[in-house]
Parts: sequence; C-alpha cells; structure tokens
Amino acid sequence: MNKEEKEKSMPQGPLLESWIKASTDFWKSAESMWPATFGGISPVPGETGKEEGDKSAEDSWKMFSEIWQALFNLINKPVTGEFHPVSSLPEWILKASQPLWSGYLLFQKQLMGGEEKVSAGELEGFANLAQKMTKAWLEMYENEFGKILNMPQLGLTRAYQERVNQTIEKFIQFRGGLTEFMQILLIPMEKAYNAVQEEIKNVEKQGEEALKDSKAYYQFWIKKMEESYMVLLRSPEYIETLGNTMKALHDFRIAKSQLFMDILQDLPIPTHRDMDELYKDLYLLKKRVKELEKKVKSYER
Amino acid sequence: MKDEKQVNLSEMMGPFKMAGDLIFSRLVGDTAKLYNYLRDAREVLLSPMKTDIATTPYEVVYEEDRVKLKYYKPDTETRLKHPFLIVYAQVNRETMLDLQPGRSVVETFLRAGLDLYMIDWGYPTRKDRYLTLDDHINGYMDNIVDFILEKHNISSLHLMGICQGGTFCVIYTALHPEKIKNFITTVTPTNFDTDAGLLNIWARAINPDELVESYGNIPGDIMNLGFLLLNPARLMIDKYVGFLENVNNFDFVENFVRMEKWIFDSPDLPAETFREFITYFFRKNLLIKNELEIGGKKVDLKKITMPVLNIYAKYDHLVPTTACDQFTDKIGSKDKEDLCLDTGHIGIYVSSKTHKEFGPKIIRWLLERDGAVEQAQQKPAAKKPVARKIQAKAKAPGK
Repeated sequence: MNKEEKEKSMPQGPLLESWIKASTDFWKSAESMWPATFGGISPVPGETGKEEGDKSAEDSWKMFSEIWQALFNLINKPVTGEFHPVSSLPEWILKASQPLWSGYLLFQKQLMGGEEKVSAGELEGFANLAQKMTKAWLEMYENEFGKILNMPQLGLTRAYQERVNQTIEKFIQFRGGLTEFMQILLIPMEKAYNAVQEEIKNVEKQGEEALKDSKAYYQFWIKKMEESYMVLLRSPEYIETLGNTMKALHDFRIAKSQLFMDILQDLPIPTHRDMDELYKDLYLLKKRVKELEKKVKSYER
Repeated sequence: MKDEKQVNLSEMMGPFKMAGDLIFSRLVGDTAKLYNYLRDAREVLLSPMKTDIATTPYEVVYEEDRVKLKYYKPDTETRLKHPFLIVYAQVNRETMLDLQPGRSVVETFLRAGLDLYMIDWGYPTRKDRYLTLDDHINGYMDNIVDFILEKHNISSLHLMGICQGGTFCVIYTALHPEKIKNFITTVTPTNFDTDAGLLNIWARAINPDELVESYGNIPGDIMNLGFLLLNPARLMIDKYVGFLENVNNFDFVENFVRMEKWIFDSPDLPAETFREFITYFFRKNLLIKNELEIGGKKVDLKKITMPVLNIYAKYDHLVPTTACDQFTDKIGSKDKEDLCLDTGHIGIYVSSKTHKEFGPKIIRWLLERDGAVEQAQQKPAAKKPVARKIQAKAKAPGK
C-alpha cells in the first residue's frame, strides 16, 4: 500500500495514524517495563510459585498488547469493496473530534516525556509522577474538552444546558484540584520512606542486620513524616493548593446546587433557595418576638 | 538485572506499605504470640463495652430553640454562694468535660460542691444558618445568665469559657460585666494574629463567604478533617497503629472508643456565626485590638474588671500560647492570673496528670473569691489582688 492509498482509506489522515503509533509505543514501553515494575512489588527470590504467577500475568499482558496492535493494524489496512466503515464516517465528525484526538495525543506525549524524566532521575517517586500526570491531564482538558463545554448554547433550553455543562466542568476542575491536593499530601510520606531507606542502608553498611527492631524504624518513619508534614503544612505551596481546592469545591457545589434547582422545580420538593427564604423570614420574626418579649418583661418589672 | 532507567513500582508504592509491613512483620515474628494477640483482640472487640460518655446525671432546666442549659446538682452541700456557668465551644461538644467516670471535670466540680450549669449548643440545622455572634452572645447566653440569676435570686455568677466558648465569654463579659462575679478562660483564643498555629495560617487562606454560600452551615466533618490535617502522621496513622498494638487491652479499647465518640461528634457550625468568627477574629483580629462591635455595641476589654483566671496549654496545637497570653494585659482587672499548663488542648481536661491540677486549681481560685459562708474553712484569700503569670515548669510532650 502506498502512502496515498493509506491516506485515502483513513480520511482522518496522519493525526489518527500518529496517535495509533504513539499509543502502541506507549504500551510497548509499558510491556518492556513489566519485569522491573510489576515484578518488583514483592521481590522474593526463590519463590517459584510467585515467579510463575508473574510469568502468567506477563503473558496476559503480552497477549493484550498483541490484540491492541492487531486491532490498529486492521484499521490501518485499506478497505475495499462495498463497505468502508472508517472512511465512510462523515468528514464533519472527524473534524469535530480532532480536538479530542490532538488533546489525547498531547497528553500521551507529556506522559512519555514525564517517563523519560523519571528515568533520567529528574523526577523521583510516585507523588511527583502522579502530579505530572494530573497537570498534563488538566492542561489537556482545559485546552480541548473544556472549550467544548463552554461553547455558547442556543434556544429555549439554553440556560438549562449551560448549567449542565457548568456542573460537569466544575466537577472536573474540582476533581483535578482535589487530586493535586491529595498528591501534595503524599510528599511527606514519600520523604519519610526515603529517609528510612537511607537509614537501613547506613545500618547495613555498618554490618548490622537491618530491621532488627521494626518498632524503632516505624517510630523513625513517623517522626520523619511528622517533621515533613509540619514543614509542608506551613508552606506557601500547600496553602495555595488548599485555597485553590476550596475554591474549586465552592464553584462545583454552587453549580451543582443550581442544576438541582432546575431539576427540583418540576417536582413537589422545595429547593434550598425556597427553604432559605423561609428560614430567613422565620429568623427575623423570632428575633423580633424575642426583643418584644424582653421589652414587655422590663415594663412588668 | 534491574534496569536503572525503569520505574520500580514497589519503590513508588513504598510509603503505603511501610506501616503495614512493619506492623505485620512484628506480628508474624512469633506465631504463638500472634495467635494469643488475635484471640485476645477478638475477645475484647466482641465483649460488651461501656463506652457511653457524659454519664453524670443532669437536668435540663432551660431550653431555647436548639440550645439547652444543663444543671448538675453537687454531691455535697453547695459551697459557693454564686452558681458556676460553663460555656463550651460550638466546635465539638461539652461532653468532653465528662468523658468518663474518674476522669471527669464535671465530677471534680460536683464533689467540691459547685452549683454547676453548662450550655449545650445542640446541633444546628439549616434554619440556624442566619444566627450571628450577637444572637448567640447577647441572645442565648444572656437569656441563660438571666435565667440562672433569677433562679438563684442573685446579681452575678461565676463564668468559665472553653476555647471558642471562651471567646464568646470574653465578649459577653465585656458587654455585661455587672453579671459576672469571677471569670475563668481556658484555652481561649483572643489574639488571632499569630502564625504559631496552623489554623491561624489556614483560616487566612480560605474565603468564609464562599464556604457559607456553598455549604450553608459548615459541616462538622469538614471541621474535623481540618483538625486531622493539623498532624496527619500522628492523628491519622500513628493513633490507629497504637490502637492495633493495644487492641487486646480491654480498658485501652474502651477509653479509645470513648475518645473517638467525642472527637467525631461534631455539630455543624451556624453559617453566619462561622463567617463572622473567621472575618472578625482570624482575618481582622478585632477583639484584642479593642475594635470589635457586636450587636451595635463596642466590646471594650477594659470593662472586664472582675477577677480573671486565664488558663492555657503549652503544647496546644489548636490555640497556641501566643493566642492566649495577651488577654490579661488588655483587660481592666487588677486581680488576674495567667496559668500555662504543661499539656495540650484537650489534655488540659482529660489527661490524668493535668486533671489533678486543673479542676482543683479552679475550685481553690473560686472559693477564695466567692465570698461564700464556707470561705473561712478554706485557705485564706490572697491579701491583695495580684496580677501573676505562672508558667509550666517541666517540659513534657503535649497531647
């Protein structure tokens, strides 16, 4: 198949092709990482049963990877005859979905980049990797999918649809904020763990048996973690993340509440807004009555 | 051979495995020991436990909306001429003062013959969201004080405030000094312009208007989450590791469960009160600057002229000493005393060491200043009113 034929069979052009390639590369690299990554969870040498288990899991992974590649090879092939399922997709759908494809591609590229950095030792640990992934995902969302949610709505149901979109958007932003907040909270755990690893290495260097007194190591870990938290919880980064998360929570709750009010107005159920108006009236009335009661009492005396 | 360029998931997941691995490596070290441990733990957890809190009998003598006034009858004849009113914070509940028999501040006061009243703020619902500081202080509190004064046919009473309840009491006492005979503040924040406590720092980062708009009343669970985040390593991990280590000890488990019941029994905070509290105190620090106005009246600390005892804790992570120790310098009283105890925020009321110091000190101090009939039998009162600052002596880990 020459290049021209290939492009004809795939009207979405090189974009989908490059995405497929990137996906395949990504999962291939994950496959090559298998022994060190998943095999490393319980590295107990000599346990044949465990190794067999790992082998079987690795085989399943390879099989999955092969199916994935086969699927995309199939899509890549030129389709002849009466049916042209992929090429027969209307062009506008493919164009409309372009932002999603490119966004996903960008996300994947950033992930691959992040992996390289981890390997090069610029980033270390789960917290930083997870933070990188969240940021990449949020960036992709804001640049691509988020824009779709903010498209102007038209017609009679305009306001309702806008509130649905707003709720979805605020929810995604809140989840992103919360994930970042949780990730920042993981940093002291990781630091404390590294400190313990260092301590164990030092003890072993001195020829002593490591983990002889696990309680002492635990206390050391907790102490290090506490110290690390005390620094983190006062840091401007933490306070900024806390503020951002609370803001995102507020925005989401307000959007959700407005959406629920739309839903509830068709049901015989009062909304928070209805009840709050009543409560306010009740509060003011009670206050007035209490003041008058006090006045009457003072006159009686 | 491990490729150095590849990410090792076990290393990434290390922190999560740490606590679990260490606990279980200890447990499985000795199979017989492990068996006994599990058998005892099972026995303890399945046995009936007495984990009720606040078991000292009381009578509800006044009710207004959700707010109740509890009256505790003394075990002996009343030794004070003036009744004693305690105002707890709206965060958590006053049941902390009566956590368990033998370690109850309420019991100590009743044994000493105090006529004890305590405000129970109850559980605010959405209809309470518009209640302000003024409604709580010049409304509920003032009505309760009037009720007690009328019941006893006297013109003043002894007042003790705890934590946020102490701040309410400071405002009340400055606005109605004629109704207060003697005033005690315990772990009461009055100066909020300090970075010693994390709460002070965080409170400036959040927007109370947004929280109130989106939640209405502020959920107790959100407050509790904030308190847990003050020290996640100890309060979310180490505490429960300690529980697992002692789960085969019946008394330990019983006490632990009681404390858990109290800690997580957190009423929501009325929205407007929360908004005002954060804005007036944490953000503007109006009280100690003598710039606060409540219900249209200026809260002048110089109007606090009765004897004042200000107790706080050296290792308090919620209300640091710097939040408490300026108060007595700003008031008009001549007979005033600062007492810094060697403990933490809650330890001041429940730790067995401080328990022997805290209650008896208050009883002595009140007896010396009550002007009661039995005063002659007690230690003679201080000859002259004095202003003192007493610091904790020894260094000890706080709660």
